Amino acid sequence: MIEICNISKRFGNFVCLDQVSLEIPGGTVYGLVGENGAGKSTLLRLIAGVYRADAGEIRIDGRKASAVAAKREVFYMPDRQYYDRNATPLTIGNFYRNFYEGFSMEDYRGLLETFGLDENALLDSFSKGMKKQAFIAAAICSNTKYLLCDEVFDGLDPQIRRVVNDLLLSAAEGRKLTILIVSHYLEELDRICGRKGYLHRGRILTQEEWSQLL
Amino acid sequence: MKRFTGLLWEDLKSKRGIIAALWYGMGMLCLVFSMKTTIPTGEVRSLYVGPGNTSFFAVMVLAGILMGAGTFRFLRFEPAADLYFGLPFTRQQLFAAGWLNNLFIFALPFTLCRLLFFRISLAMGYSRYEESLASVWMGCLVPVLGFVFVMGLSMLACLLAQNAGYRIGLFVLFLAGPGVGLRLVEKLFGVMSPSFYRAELLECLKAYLSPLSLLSRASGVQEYADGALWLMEEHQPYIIALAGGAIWLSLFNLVIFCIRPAERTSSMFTFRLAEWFVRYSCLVLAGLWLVSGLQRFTFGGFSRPLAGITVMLGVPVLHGLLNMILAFDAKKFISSKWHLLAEIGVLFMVLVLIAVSGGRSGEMPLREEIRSMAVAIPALASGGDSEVLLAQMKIEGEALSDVYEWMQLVCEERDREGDSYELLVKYELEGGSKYCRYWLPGHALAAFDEIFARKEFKQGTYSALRMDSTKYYEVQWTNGAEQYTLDLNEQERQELLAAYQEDLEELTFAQIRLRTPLGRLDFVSTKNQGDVSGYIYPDFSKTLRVLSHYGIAARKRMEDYEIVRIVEDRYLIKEGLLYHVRYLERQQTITDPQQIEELAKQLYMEELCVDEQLNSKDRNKEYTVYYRDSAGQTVKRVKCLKGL
Repeated sequence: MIEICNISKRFGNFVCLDQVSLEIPGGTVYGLVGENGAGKSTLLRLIAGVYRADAGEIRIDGRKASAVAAKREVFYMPDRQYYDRNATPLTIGNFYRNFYEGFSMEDYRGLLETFGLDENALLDSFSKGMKKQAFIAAAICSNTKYLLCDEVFDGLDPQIRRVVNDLLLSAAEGRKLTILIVSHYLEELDRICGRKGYLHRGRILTQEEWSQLL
Repeated sequence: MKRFTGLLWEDLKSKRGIIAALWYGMGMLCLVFSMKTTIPTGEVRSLYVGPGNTSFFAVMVLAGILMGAGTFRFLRFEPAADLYFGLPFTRQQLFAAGWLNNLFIFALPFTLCRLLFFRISLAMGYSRYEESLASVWMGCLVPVLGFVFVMGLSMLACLLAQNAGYRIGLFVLFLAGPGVGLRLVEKLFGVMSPSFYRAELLECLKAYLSPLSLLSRASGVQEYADGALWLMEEHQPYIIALAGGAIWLSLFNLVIFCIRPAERTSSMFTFRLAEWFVRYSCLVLAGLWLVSGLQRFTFGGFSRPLAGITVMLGVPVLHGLLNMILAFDAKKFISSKWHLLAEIGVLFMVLVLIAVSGGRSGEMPLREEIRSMAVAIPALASGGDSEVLLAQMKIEGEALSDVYEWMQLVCEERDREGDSYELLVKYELEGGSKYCRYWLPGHALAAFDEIFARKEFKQGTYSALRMDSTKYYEVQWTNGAEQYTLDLNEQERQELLAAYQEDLEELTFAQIRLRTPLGRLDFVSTKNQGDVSGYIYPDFSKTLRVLSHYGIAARKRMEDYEIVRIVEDRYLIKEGLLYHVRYLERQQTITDPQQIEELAKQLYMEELCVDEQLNSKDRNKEYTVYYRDSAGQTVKRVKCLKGL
């Protein structure tokens, strides 16, 4: 379970998150919705331990989010992926295999095949969507308990989006993977997320507040 | 452990460019060295195997800067920061991986290359194994420490600043700032306190706090000593300080890396404290430079009101410039008003501190406190560098009491006024050394003969008197117009030295003031032990006799040459607003033999007119004398000055 208690984060004078509290139960697919600049990606980075909160605390299975033991169970997939200029899908797999004990190279190769990606081709020669597919495959095959996805559907065509949806759902159901997805694609979130949260100007809104806002 | 090894491996892979560059660079250094077929005469071995090798020193500094700057490149790109900080590692682990890899990447090829250099050096006979071994190991260790130190500075600059320009600026400030600051403080001490010459504490701070100085002193890169002569005792304190600095910087960087936010801040610096540090460091440096510069332009002693006005007018300008630089925004010139007040306060405090500390150096210590002392008069340029002289001279016992009394009687602690001569004194006290500067009034110059006649003074001033062997020397003689290397054996060289030493012992200060040297003897070392030079005065009968015995016409003056013509350049000095301008007013060529004969009697080779403050020449006229050489075949020319 991911517990977020009174998290605040400022960037200079801009209050990005203001005492946000949230609980994401284990084994659920949680969708986080909000307009641009609402603080969705920042919240994800805080959970992943990239950023440090100004106030409040985040716990993953009772451990501090920044602790290695907690981070070992979390795979964070940011909106924009970083990779070496000479990286191929295969080297990406090898990279994550070093850090996640449960990473299955066999499954990874299988998923690359499903997506139709050449494991030895340069990532730089791929389209935005194809790159994302390679990283989604790595994320799923890392076999962590938690998966944090920032704009996971961005750049994917409808067919691949469906495949990704199915993969995420089967992972969530099959091995109780907890998935937190930040996205603008409300339809996709409606399709796969068991629960949803609404972030607006640094605060979590209720369903009613969100509906009124829309 | 397995995951950390994986992190090391991935980090190593990301640095393959610098790895290739280092191995290639080291390989090329070895290749070039192995192709060296001969050693030029007098070339020293430390250039190959010791820590003072300049090529390796440059590689160490360059690698430190580049690798320090590139260690945490991922902090500069948001997606890269997301990737690395999102991995299951603590920040300490991420730091350790980058730091260890850098050390490994540099130390391995560097050490191998240095050992290979040693093998090549042994094989070619440039070095002897036993005497160079310690130097070789230190040649591996010291640069590695230096690398960690430079890398730490570069890393710190990158962790504290947010863009490339500011990183470079911050690094330059770390590297050169302390040295520049201390030199400015020293200058101001000199201006504020007439008796300040230099302070041992300042020298010590300059050596240890200035990174460049510490690096060069620890490695001995400026010494050019033979690898076998690289003495651990001389470098040990600097090496310890370097190691301490490297460790401290590494730990400090670790702390900064752990607390540093991953996101970009709106300021040009990661932390507000870093911005303040830059602001006040630059302000103090620039403020001191301004005060020191303006004092210099006033052509007088230190003036407190002028310093006050400089601060009051200069600091607001500096404040505005700093505002613009720190925010990278010209519109910010007038902002941060509270900082302006603080900046004026800080600069006043620094100046008061300098004035108070500088004032103390003016007090003449009590006779009982002095163990020994050294006295130098910089106007006596033929005696060599005053700094070396003070280090060599040691006046003790009865002589010390006499010199002390003489100084109390004659010397004054005041600003230089008109016709007075600088007198530098080093007191060796119970608690360390103290340097002072006094002014010897022109009318009392003759009184310096008392000091000059002292054996201790001459021993300290004239290095020829300290020479005991001429085994690894060759002797050269010159009178400014001719130069010969004497073909003498060791015994003959020793006899010449003995004659010269006897003449030197009999030399009086009055002779220096009245007589211009006839020539110069140079004892040139063939083993890089340092050359020794000494002037030959007309009264040096013993030396002149020995030289004439070896066929040197050492008594020959300008008038004794067959002069073809003399070109006289007359200069005038025009007073400018800030400085004086010297310009050529007239040029005249003299060809009349009678005129030449008359003039030549008053001419002295410019090269030999060293003590110009003591034995003045007409500096408004310069003479170029065209004369036939001894064989009478070719016409040569030499610059001369006319006696007053």
